[in-house]
Amino acid sequence: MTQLITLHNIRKEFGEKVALAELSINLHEGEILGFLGPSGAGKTTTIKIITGQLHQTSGEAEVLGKDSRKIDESIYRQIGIVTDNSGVYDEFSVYDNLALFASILQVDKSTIDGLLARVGLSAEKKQAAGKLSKGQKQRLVLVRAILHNPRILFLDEPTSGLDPSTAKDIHDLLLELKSEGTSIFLTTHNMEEATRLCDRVALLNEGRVVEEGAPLDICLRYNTEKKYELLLSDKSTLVLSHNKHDLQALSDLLNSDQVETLHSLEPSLESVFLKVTGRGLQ
Amino acid sequence: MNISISRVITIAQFKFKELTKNKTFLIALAVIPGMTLVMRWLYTSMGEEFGEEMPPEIFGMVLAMGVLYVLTMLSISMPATLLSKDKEKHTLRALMTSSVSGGEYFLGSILPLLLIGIILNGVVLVISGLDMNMVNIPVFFLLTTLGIVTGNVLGMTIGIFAKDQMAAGNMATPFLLILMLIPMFSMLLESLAQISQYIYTGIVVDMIFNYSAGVAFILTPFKLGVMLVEIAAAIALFLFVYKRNGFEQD
Ligand SMILES: Nc1ncnc2c1ncn2[C@@H]1O[C@H](COP(=O)(O)OP(=O)(O)O)[C@@H](O)[C@H]1O
Ligand SMILES: [Mg+2]
Repeated sequence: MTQLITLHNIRKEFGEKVALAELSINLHEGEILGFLGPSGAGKTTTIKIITGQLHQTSGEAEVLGKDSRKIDESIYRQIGIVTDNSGVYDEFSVYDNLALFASILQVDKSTIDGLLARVGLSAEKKQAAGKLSKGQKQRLVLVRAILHNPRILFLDEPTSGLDPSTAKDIHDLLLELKSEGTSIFLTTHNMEEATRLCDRVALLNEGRVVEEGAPLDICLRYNTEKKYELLLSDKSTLVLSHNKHDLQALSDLLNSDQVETLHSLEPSLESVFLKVTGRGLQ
Repeated sequence: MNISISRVITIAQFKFKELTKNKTFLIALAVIPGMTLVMRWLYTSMGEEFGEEMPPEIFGMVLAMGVLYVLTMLSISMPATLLSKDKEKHTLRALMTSSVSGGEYFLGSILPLLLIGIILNGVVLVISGLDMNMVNIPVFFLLTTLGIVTGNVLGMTIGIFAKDQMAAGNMATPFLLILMLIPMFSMLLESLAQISQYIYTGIVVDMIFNYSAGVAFILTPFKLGVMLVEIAAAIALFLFVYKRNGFEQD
């Protein structure tokens, strides 16, 4: 499996403040890796270090085989970046904004129309970018980041502040991009987003990776005490444990058709995070 | 640093369009020739009032005013404004993380302004009312163009320190005042004339006053030296500031 990004013991200090303690993580080709952590955990700082916009205090970071401290502009022809404050030229149209970056990245301008259609911005093509809604602007920025069909796409909280339906459109697009071979490094503090999109997640807290793996694996790792939640016919709820006594009760309830719904109570990423760090994600 | 000519041209074209959507720029574009015409008309009609022709020195002043505006308001303020706007709106980051190098951005930003500045200086020369036969055209364009470039580089340097357009305007103002007023009033105050001969805008104005007085302007090694030293100093200062952290201030 090709590793596109390798971080080894990355430390970043801002004066006295330690933003990243000793961060080690890899991005494999073709996967979506999620960086999940609350505000201030160091997600944006990590993206900036990998993409050469900031230099680490110590540790090694490699992106596409190059030391991130030594990368030059040419690396940006192979990666796309969407940050939380990616700017657009408000006074230029959606199309003109993209045409500028298409020229810079030596991409045929004819690809613009197709991408706009794909994110549902065809009708806004001639509209000034400053007049777009937040969700539309985010989609414009996303199109700009994928114009040149990058090998790695960096997304810093791509759906933060967007309504659920726009967020879902973006999720679908990201899954499509992945199926076309783009590797994605995304940060989020939304655990549903991470669960839905990511092949692997790293739980980040105060500049350290506290857990790492496939979302399901992580959840199962903490499923030490299996429990089931039942909604009974009389609308009461009941939690049963995985022991002989409770399982017999469960079997009786099922046989007598008193169970309306039945759920296993494995932990979510959110509860794992809470358990590991003692704090929530929001 | 890599510089691709095609990317420089792309950015220059875009920056040109950006200028045509910028109010401050459009105002400067209208005011510079506009003021030159108004002043010319004012002095011409004043002359008619007294029934005599105005001396060419008067139109030399009109030309000097116009050129000073080009060298300062346009050549210093606009690059500072464009750069700080790109920072304020986070579009600089977007460019830089889309494979634009610092050199490409720098050249792409100042090329349109350089071109517009040269054209405007030509326009001001033609409409100032000064007899063009009194002016050595190649020397006029040589010195005014050196002046534009110095201003552009200075403007980009100011832009590095300014985090937004408001700050860029404020930071540029003292430079505009010094570079404009000292040469302008050098003909009234001997002490200012002493200072003015060391300032690139002062040398440009001195050249114009000489032409309008019918005195041959000799581009002495000293004068050319001042122009070249100041352009080199501006570039050195820019590179020094740029080397620290690119176009960002910290
Ligand atoms: N330029 C900076 N100067 C000082 N502290 C910073 C700077 N950038 C980030 N930090 C600090 O580093 C920590 C991590 O920040 P960040 O990476 O932005 O977190 P996240 O993106 O996960 O919300 C925060 O405590 C933040 O205050
Ligand atoms: Mg962040």
